[in-house]
Amino acid sequence: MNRIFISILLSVLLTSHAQANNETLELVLNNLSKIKHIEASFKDIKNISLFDKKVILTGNLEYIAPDVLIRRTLKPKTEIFKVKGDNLYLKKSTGKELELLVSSYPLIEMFVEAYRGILSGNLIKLKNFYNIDFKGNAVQWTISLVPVDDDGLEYIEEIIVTGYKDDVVKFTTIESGGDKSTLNITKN
Amino acid sequence: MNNPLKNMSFLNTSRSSILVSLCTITFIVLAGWFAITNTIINSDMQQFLPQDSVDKSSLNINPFKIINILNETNSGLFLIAIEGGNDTQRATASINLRKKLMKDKMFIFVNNGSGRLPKKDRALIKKYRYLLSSKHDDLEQNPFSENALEFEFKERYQEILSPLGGLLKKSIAYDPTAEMRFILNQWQLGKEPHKKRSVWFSDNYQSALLVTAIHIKGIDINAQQHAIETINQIFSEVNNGELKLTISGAGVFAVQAREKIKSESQQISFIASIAVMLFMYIAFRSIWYVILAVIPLLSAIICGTILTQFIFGSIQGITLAFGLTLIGVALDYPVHVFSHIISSESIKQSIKNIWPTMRLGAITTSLGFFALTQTNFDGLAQLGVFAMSGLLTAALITRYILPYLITLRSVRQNSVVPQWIELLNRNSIKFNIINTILIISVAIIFLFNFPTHWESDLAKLSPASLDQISIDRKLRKQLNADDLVNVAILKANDSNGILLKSEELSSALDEMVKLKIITSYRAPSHILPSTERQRKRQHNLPDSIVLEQNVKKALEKSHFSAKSFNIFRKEVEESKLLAPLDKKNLNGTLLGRQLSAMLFKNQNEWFGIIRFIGVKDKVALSKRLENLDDQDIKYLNIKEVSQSIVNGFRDEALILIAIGLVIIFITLIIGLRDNQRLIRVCFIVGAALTFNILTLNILGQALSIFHLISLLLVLGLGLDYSLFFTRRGDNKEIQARTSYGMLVCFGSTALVFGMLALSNIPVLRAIGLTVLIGVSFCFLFAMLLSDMSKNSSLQDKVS
Repeated sequence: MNRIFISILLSVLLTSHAQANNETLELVLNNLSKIKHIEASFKDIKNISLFDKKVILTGNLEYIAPDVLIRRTLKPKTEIFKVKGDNLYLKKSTGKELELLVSSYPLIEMFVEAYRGILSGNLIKLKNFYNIDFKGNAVQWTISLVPVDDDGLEYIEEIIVTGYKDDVVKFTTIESGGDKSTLNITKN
Repeated sequence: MNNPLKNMSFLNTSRSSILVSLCTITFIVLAGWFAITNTIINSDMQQFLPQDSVDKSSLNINPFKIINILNETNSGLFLIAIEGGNDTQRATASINLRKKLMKDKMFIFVNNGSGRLPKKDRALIKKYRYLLSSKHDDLEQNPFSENALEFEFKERYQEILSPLGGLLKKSIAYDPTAEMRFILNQWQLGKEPHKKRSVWFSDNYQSALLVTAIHIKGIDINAQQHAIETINQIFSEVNNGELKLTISGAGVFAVQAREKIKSESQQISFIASIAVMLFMYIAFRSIWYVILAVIPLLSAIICGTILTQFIFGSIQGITLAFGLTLIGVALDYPVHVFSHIISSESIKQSIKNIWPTMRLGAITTSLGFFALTQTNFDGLAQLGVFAMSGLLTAALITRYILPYLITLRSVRQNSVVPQWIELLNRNSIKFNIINTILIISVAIIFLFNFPTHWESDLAKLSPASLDQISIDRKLRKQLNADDLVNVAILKANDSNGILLKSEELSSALDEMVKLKIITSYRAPSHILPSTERQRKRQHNLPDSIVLEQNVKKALEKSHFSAKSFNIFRKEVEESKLLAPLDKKNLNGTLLGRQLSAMLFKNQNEWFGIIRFIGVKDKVALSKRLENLDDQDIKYLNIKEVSQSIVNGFRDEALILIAIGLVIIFITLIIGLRDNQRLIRVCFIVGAALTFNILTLNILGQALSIFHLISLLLVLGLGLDYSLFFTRRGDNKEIQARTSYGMLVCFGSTALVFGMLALSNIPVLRAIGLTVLIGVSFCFLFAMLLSDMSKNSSLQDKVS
């Protein structure tokens, strides 16, 4: 009985806490949704168990509201990754190109919508793919995204987005195997 | 005239009459009960397709067999659309419908674009990847040389670093050369429909799409109906109330056609029965006559059913339905009797008098149907047996039983024939050379201007509405469902033989893809390589020491850590010891099911089907396949073959009918022994049939097998009419009676078939229209051209 009581109490407390959190989350996302164009440089630090050392990629990012995202990697190899609506385009340093429909690949869609959903402040879209947890306040905040379905969880454990006011500062992706990648973003 | 009871000594005849009646009723009840309880009515339409004995091609492959098998594949396929609600609701319903349908063993597969390959399939591909992948087939030796691995590792490194790398990484550890991806791409042929929320949607995203299939043997409308009901039932469980389900496919058409024909023919036969009974009552003003008229017909149906059942083991539903129409002529026999009863002679004598004519009519008509019994089509042969036995039964019952039954009750004998019937007789035209030439030349002129058009596309007779057809077409297009028109058939002694042949053929086919003769093709070896090919790939795999060294050296030049690909090495080693994958290993997998549709055993031979997608140049395709000069490879255009089957079937039927006509002619010569009458009868029937066909041509009706069967009925009616009209002689009273009897016969037939002609269902309309027109011409010509006044004999010359 005690346990039940405690859990009820906890859930009540957590709910009120969550409600406050929800309002702040909506506020943050609302602020983000007002930004129509972002140009930034990035530094992506990848810790991958298959590799003997960590890899750092650099380049620049561009976001045009609501659904265009371009990532140009300059080092160590050039690569262009572009999503516009449902279309994904990838061009490797070798010149090899790849085009596909995002919605045809549920995992890719889930992955892409993490970035696009945050940048466009689209809570409904994010909720389609992730359970969302918010920490912090409107100035200094982190949003945790955990995949809703099992297929997604097979690959991604959590994506943590860190922000300051209406700037997204960092995407930290923790993969299910323990690999981690940290994408630091600096606005131009 | 006014003494109806003169020859009806009721008391004298009553004992034997009552006895015969009791026997008859007992017989009808018992036989009817036997027929109802023992008859197996089947809905296998295959009986209306030819048996495989008519393979005219010099090749080893019998196209009929293949078409039947392809038809089975096609008739088990269902295309499903979910409309209404919003995207998410539609997608969710699609996913739930799929999950629930997959639990039902009846469905071979359910595909909506979601979900990866089933676990069992994925595990199989992973295990056999080095035997299934054709990636290194160009190499004659070790695909995992140091250089090759170095290249692959670099590629994988790049892939892992790309934004989507996280999704690929897991498989890279055991599959650094990306064999699995290669295999899956190899299988993913053709364009997939649009996707949203990971399920298939139509172009405008208004409907979620699924494809499912059941296994069908022959043409089994009941199985199709069961599948449709199950899909609807399961959908109602997943529907939130806002969504609408549309199912299409050959099965849906078949089920709806059956329902439509069934309900409409029931409706028509109900109305027609009442109308005919009313008509008979008006004609003879006696309910007793109406009841009596039904007895020969009822006996005909019962005998026909029992005999057909006895000979064929079952009776096809359509045979029963058409057969009932065909022996409607049995209703005419009692009518002849009723109209020929006169006061000056006993009823038995009256019947005896007309019996030779009736007998000749029944025999010749039966001979017309005899032609049908000789076809290769079970369904038609059944129809022939049913109609023949039914007609003869009706004639015999009328001759030997009816006289006893009539005397059971007093009947008004003479008042039935109205005075105005004289008018009919007065208008008779003398049969002479002038009107003969006139009729023949009119026929020739019209036949020249309106040539007969044959219908070889039986689909056009389908009662499916245009809406349904357009829905089906749309769904097929959206789902890229292959219409199974262009295929190549392979033949071999075992399944591996087919796979070898399919592999051999692929170089020629790949070239055709390059030349844009076809867009792509699906061959059985795409799913399962031959044992030989798998062994060769196994053989090319390096031994463990070589592989270890190569991996080590390649790793040194890469960014991967030293122990990265240990699993890869272990699994390559294991692959070398695998027994090649064969068809049996695929049992219970989706791939296995897909393969079964392309690779199957029929009797002792194995067949493979290569399906061509986007055929741009049919001629070049068939020529190139012919040039291979392999007796066991044959190109088929299913549509053309089906049409040639239908045409062959029609030609066969025509020949048999022609033979039937000759036999009928000989029978008439023997039966009539009167050249004058013979010429008239033949001319009347010939003219009626010619003008029947002519009118159909003018109306723009393309003639099909259903028209032909109906023409047989017209032939029978024409013989009956002309035989009776030409026996009238000079006696005015007898002329009047015959004319009146014929008018009643004509009226009742025209009534029934006129109703059928109004039907919306092409098959029923074809039958109704043909018989209505035919019987009208028969009556017209028989009435106008049968003037036999010179020949004054009343009695038939036949004994």
